[in-house]
Amino acid sequence: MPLLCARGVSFSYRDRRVLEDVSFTLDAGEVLGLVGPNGSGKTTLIRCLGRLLDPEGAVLLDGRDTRSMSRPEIARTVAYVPQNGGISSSATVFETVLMGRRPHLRWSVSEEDKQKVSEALSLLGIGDFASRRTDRLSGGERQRVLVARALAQDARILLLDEPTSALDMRNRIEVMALLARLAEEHRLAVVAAIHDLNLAARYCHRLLILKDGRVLGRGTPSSLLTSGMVRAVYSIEAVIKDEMGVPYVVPLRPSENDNLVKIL
Amino acid sequence: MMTDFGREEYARLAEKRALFITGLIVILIALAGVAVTIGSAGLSVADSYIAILAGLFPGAVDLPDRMVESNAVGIVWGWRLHRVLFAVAAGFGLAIAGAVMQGVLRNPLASPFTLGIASAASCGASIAIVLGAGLLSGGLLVIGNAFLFAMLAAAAIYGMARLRGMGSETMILAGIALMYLFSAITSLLQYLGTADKVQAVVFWMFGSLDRSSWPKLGIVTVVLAAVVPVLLWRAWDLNALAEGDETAKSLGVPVERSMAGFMLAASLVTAVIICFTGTIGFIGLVAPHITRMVIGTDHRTLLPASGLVGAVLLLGADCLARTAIPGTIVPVGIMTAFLGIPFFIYLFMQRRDA
Amino acid sequence: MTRRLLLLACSLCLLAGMAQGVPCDRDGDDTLTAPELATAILDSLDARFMGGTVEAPSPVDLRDAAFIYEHWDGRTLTITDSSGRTTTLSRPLRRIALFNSDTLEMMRSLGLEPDRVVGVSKYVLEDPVFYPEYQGTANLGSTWAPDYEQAASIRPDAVFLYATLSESSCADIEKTLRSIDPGIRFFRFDSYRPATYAEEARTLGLLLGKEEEARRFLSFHRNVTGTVAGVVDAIPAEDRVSVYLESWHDYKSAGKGSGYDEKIELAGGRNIFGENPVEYPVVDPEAVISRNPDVIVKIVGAGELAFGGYGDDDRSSFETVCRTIGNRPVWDRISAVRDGRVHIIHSDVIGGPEYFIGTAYLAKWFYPDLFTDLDPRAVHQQYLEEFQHLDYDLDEHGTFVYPA
Repeated sequence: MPLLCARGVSFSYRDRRVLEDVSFTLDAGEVLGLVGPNGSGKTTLIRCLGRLLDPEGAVLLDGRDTRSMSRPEIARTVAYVPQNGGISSSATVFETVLMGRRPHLRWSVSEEDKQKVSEALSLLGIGDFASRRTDRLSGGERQRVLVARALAQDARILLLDEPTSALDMRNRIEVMALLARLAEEHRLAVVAAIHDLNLAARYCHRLLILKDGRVLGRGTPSSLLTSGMVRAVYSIEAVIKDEMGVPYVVPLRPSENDNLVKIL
Repeated sequence: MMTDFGREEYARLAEKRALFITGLIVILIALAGVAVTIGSAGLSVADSYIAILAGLFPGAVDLPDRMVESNAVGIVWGWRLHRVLFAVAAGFGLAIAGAVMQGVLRNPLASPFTLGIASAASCGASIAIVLGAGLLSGGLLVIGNAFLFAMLAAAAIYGMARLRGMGSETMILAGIALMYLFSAITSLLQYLGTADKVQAVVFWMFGSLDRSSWPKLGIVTVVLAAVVPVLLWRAWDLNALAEGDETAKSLGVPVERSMAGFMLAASLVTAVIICFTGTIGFIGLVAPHITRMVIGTDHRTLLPASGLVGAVLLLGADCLARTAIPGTIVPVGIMTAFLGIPFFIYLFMQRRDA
Repeated sequence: MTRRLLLLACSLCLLAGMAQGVPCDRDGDDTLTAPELATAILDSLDARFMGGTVEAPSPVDLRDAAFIYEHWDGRTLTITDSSGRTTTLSRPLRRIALFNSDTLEMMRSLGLEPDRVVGVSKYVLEDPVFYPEYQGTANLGSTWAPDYEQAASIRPDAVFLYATLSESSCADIEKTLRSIDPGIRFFRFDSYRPATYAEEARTLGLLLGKEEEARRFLSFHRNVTGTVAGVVDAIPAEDRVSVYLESWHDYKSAGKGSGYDEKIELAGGRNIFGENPVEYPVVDPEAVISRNPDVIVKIVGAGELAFGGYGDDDRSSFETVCRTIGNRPVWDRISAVRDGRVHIIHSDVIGGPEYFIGTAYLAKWFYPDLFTDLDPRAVHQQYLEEFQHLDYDLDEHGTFVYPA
């Protein structure tokens, strides 16, 4: 039984069709990479999956339709990391991550809550500035705080919108490796929208390719990533190398014509 | 490996907060103790306290002659005591209302004034004073109108926000528009009114504790007792809202309903206070700010601590108001405005635009 | 020590006596008859000088009883004040507090003894020239900024407030003071409105036991107002002089229903802005020019023109004002300016309880031929000497009108 299931998810914003008939499933222990050019609807899809937006079609979390779930229930099942913002400027790091415990919190903070926060902080390597105010952090540090908060939420499904865009090379790898490891160890389902194709290819079990709101391809990175696909989705000429079984995209130059060739 | 990151500091922070609140309670009690002895009747400190006891236990206390002559009991119980308690309750309520609004709107400069609620109350009062028109009659005319218009403003902000989206910017914009609207109406009424009525309006808008009484204190206390515990219970939602509407939603907070509920509670508390006192400003802005600087933004402690800071500020301002110019009581709203100045200068000096 | 005890006893008796019936009323029928009073006096003498053992009334009771017998016909007094409220008194007022300085002036016209007044508004204390005998009295503040603690600590038995001015403030004062001291009686009198002036003087006379003085004062008042009214009522509407009245603010005139408008009418004038619905409208100078008034009256005494009155002997500032008006652009075309009929008058004599003196001045200016015998200055002097008991010579002191 897949942990996350999207069926015919569509969304219109004002008069514009942003998502059209997106369907996929995700099992526990899997990391799904959402890739696609800017404006392809990745952020909207993530929001729909977390029920921050109300789409047509169905989103099933662990078999249950999100429409039949209350907000607190959804919050206990899905954790969401926004691309930017999502953080108040005057709380400490510890308190911000503590907010992730809200779906489980009674009025006072229990030992278990504090324990989870400490763990999340240490996993993300930000334990040293637990008492610093969030407006005194760099962009990368702030992003890791957001991820830590999502982890503290103890949800089985993680939705992350560009969780590594502000991080340096080392931190990128660390965070993605962490997510992959947590998915496997704790049987979580992770959906991450990622700009960096190679990062996605390395750490995601499967990819979902979006362009103009439609699914252009779904499958393992090695099966999906061909130069034809890259040309079709990104309109650039690229060469695909193989690095220890993981495909590696080397972009060359923009395409001359951008005829869309559907590849499946 | 047992991870312990930040737990010690968090525990220390919790201690600091508890200490701050305790300290404030002590200061407040001390200040109240001083406040009941202040006044132009020339009662000695001892007399003031004896009068309090005599009122609490009538017949049990043997009053010295001089106290019967000066009617110390009447002055303390009929004038000073409820005024001091009202200052505490009003300061408490206005500060908490301000803190809630700032949390909901994610803007540290939000207050009942920037949202037009206070202007609406002034407008309602002017209509009552100049035109004699209003909901209730007689002595309750001005009070009823002020309350009604304040709640109308809150409803209007909510309505406008629902039309255009419940974001914080929408609400603030709506609030500013309302502020201008109500100020314009008030000014027009002042132009058309007789000199006598205009003076009445102006004095109402100064904000004063002169009009306090035991029944009014009772009403305010009841409202506070009903609303504040609910606000405290829901403090985590306020904390979540501070992180952003989307984040709050993802954490399980029913964002639209919460915002509406919080705004309603804050407006209600504000309205019930300023309909009796007139527009007293700055407490709702300054108290939460000071509190936040000391103990951070966790609303579980921010709300009660702001309330206590507000109570201390308002009571202190009132004591100053009663003693600054001998023989006159300066309207307390003027005093709080003066107290706001050094605060804003301090804020201004702190700014370092990157 | 005994004096203090006596004072205490008096206060307590006063407070107690308010609720009780007429003092020394043996048979409790609320009427003090001559025999009852005689018995009380004799008992008191007996107890004080003859060592008698019968229970005698206190000196305070006796004094009050005598008052009631003489002034109130031995009965309790029920009066209605200017707000329509009726109060019943079984004791005379001995400790009067006034927020209304106009009423104080009216009471002085009725010969009120200063020691019966225990608290006055701050405006009285700021005017030592006009109120020399009240300078040591307790300061109650003003209706807008009352000093409640002072008002309470002087233990008044009656507080006087305005009836139609600052109504909300007066209501607040009454409510608050009542909650501090439920024994206080409240009375609302204006003492500056022409329509209610005579009635109020009469009621106050009754209240204070000064009916005779009230009669004398009112006949003086009626003499002046009657003379003016008698002449003015006979003038048909189309023959009335047109008047432009300006208060101390430039171009601020008086509209319908305002006090100044009323006084212009009483003096037989026609206010050129009398139809304006705003109480004190700021008018267009061109409108004044086009309406071409016969007489211009300018009021000084407050705002930027806060000079003149009882404390000021310098006439020159009035002259300057007069000249400034004449110098306004194009205003030399106005009849009033051309004919030299621009008059300055101080607010003290046109507002407040002296309004009838001001009205007399107005009448004389509007119709100098019809009022050759009327001498407002002499009226003013008589008012000051005979009724206000002030040693104040108008020839030497004070500036109230210009030209003289």
